[in-house]
Amino acid sequence: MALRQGLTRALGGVAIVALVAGTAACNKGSSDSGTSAGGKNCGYSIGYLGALTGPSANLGVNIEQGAELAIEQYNKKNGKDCITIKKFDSQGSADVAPGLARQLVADKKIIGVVGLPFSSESQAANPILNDAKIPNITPSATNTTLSEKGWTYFHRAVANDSAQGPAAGNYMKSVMKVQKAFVVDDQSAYGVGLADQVKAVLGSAVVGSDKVGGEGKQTDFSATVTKVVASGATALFYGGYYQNAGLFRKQLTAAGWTGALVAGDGVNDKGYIQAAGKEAAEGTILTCPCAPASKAKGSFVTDYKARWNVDAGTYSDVAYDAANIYLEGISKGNTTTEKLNEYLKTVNYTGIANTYKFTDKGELDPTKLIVWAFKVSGGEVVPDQEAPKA
Amino acid sequence: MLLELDNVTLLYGRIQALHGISLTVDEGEIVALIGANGAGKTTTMRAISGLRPVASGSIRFNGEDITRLRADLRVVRGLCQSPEGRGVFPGMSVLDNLDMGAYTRKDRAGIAADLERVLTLFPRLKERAKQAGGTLSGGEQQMLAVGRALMSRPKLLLLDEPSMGLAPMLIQQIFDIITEINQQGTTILLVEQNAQQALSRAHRGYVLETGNIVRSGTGTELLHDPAVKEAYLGVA
Amino acid sequence: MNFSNLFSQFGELTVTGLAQGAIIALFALGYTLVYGVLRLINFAHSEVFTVGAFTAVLTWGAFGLDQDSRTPGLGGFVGYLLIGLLVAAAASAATAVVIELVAYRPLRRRNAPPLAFLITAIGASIAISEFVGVLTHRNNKGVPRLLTQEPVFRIADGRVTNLQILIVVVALAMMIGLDFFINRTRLGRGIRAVSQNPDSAALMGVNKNRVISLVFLLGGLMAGVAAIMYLLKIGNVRYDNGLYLGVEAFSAAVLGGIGNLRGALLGGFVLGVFENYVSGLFGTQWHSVGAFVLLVVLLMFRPTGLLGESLGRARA
Repeated sequence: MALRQGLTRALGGVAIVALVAGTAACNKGSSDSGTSAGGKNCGYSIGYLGALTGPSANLGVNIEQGAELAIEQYNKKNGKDCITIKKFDSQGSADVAPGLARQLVADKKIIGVVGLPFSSESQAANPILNDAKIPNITPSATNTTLSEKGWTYFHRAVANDSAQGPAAGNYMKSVMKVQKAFVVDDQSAYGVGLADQVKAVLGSAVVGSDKVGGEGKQTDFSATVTKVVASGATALFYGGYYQNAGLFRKQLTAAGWTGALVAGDGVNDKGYIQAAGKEAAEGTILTCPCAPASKAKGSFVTDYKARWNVDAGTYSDVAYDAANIYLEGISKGNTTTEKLNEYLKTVNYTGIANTYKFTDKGELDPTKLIVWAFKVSGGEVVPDQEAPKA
Repeated sequence: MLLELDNVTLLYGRIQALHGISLTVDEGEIVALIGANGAGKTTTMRAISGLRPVASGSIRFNGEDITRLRADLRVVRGLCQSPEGRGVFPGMSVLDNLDMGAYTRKDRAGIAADLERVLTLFPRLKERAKQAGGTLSGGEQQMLAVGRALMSRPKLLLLDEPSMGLAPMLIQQIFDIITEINQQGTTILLVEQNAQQALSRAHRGYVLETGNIVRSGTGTELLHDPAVKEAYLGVA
Repeated sequence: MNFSNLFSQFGELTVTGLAQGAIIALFALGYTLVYGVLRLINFAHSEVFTVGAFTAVLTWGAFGLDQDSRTPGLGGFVGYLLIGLLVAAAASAATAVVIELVAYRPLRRRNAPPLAFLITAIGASIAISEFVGVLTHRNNKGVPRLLTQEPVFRIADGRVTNLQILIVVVALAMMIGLDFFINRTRLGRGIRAVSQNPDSAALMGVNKNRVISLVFLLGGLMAGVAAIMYLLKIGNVRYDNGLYLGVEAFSAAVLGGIGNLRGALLGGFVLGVFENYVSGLFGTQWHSVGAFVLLVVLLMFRPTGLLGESLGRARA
């Protein structure tokens, strides 16, 4: 017994020595680069509020990893743990998000939020962020109404559905030259918004429409498949998210429907191909109010891959930019939530994916809007072309 | 001794229902257990058949201690009860009900013979063979319950209130059949409110009062016991 | 309302509804069997289905099949189908029996009140589905395409595919087999006896615990077969699919008369077809509204369901 205690103590001693030595080495390294870890404007946090698990986690993980990469790169220059990221896993659920938002605002170190990724959870949680005066930048929630609620702390770093919907419609009309289209949505705020925009652009070319259950709520689409086949449509727009889009596409193909499925950024994910299967997914057109992550400037693509061991996904680049906007603001001394929000009003930041300038409603400046069409080819989502604006 | 209860006690929650019952049944006998409502007659039967666990004491059957044996295994040992309230399976035909009596048996020939015997004892059941148990009259259900118990070819047949709710003519008939079954070689333990009939048919009897055995003797002795006469035979 | 839609697609909606209804019916049998014997809604039955489905997909995966692999020929299809049916039925049945042993039997031994059973059932359901969810990262798992769906013949405007025929035939065959087992065999008679009068059954020598295990086993077998039919039809499975389908299956059981095997079959078909008609007439978003309004209205006029509580008629 005594022997063992002695051994433990000895080992503990070695560990402490190693730790002290390590810390000393670190300090030495950072003082070489000119900024010390205890320098000004450190000790703040940027929050991520959005899905990390749950049925639509992939998109959330893309965003969180983009933001975290930006913060880590910043800390490399400005000292270990200068700015920390705090993650709140909403599971993409509008029921879970408000509670987490309340937890988040209680943490006074958090002065800016990257999120929320989805429109429905944004509608539920944003009032709380706004009341607490926490600036937030969503890199992906695209429902148009989010900027119309008078939330002065809300910002959107991508085009909203009023840009994406028409772009998808225009792509179907001008590029695909669709004569007969069917439109389906999943009854989510996001899905309905997009589908209605597409219907408006396509007009009389829409030969039928239907509404289905959202993620996890419906798996048998046979009634809708019947309608699509009977309508003679050659293309189908689906307003919704990737898992059910995949299930739906698979059942359409199994029933012998060979038309093309077109969908928005909520489906622009590898998970769609996993759900549909490569063969059924082939040829699907996916729009995104973003430029291809692979077309991002600088070393982002390789840095991301090196850090996370996966390719940068949809919105990883925008989330990276959003985090960097905050970091630039903080480094310029905007270290309260109010000051940081004022900073966002005037910012004109050139990032790796886009140049960011916000309107007074928090939307991107109309000249900065980008919508791309992607295509599923050989089991991969590859950039096709920028969607026509009309 | 075929059945021996030694100082059996039984609890319903905190209420003690049996306060140390001791009784015996010998092979070939009809033994009657009489008593007023709530005296513990049915409870004693449930203890013997295994539907209720006993708190203390022991039950021996055919030389084996069965105090803690599961109810369905007691049937295999040759102990079969026709429960109070008849307990026929209402959704099954009369024949299926009778087949249930032979559930633990494998000897097809023997089962067929016993079925014949039961249908001879109870011609009414033969007429109603395909009818669902739940659609029979009270008397017919009683016949079915007794017939079903016989189908297990028990060493000891436990009959709980076989005359309950029956017209006087039917009561006579059912006791005739009980006597007949006994004469064919089945030992019977009988619980009855109709003490007159029960004691006049039984070799021996026990009188139960609030969970205790207060008297015992041959059927004739008890029939002529003044206290029994007053309490259970309606004679002043 | 879109009547022309409903009429022009009536045949197709009927056929696809029957196929979905057949799956629901097989699934519903487990609820009805357990209810018939224990007067308990075994909510964890939805997870019995889920476990069977994932086991089959994993087994096919072990044979090198995934959803992107080529569709095998007829021989391969039959072989993989039988393997799938076998492992799914075995896994589902084992899950059901284990749930009974671990969750319900200790409660029965202690004479627990009905509420304890209900909460245990819900708890077991959530615990297992969440466990599967965590293991599978809550992702859809794609199912190998074992069969190319092709129309075999037409009824009016409706195309009837090989898969739809398979699903309905398998469901009917399982149903007939189960019906025979319950009504014509000694063990089946034991099940009916326990469901109609548990005490009398014990006095006839029926081992109640063994009957209860058997009932869970049979329900599990049916759920496993339902899971395979579901996989072939839907092409994907996720940890919470059982929960949603389970609500429909349970409703189908009540619709047909809970405790009644034929009622479960009828309830499944009625529910599947009716949901499709509502989808055709009002739009798919209304299908659950339609189905559950039907359930509520029907129960108002026939509180014991379409065919009544047959296994359970005993207590009346």
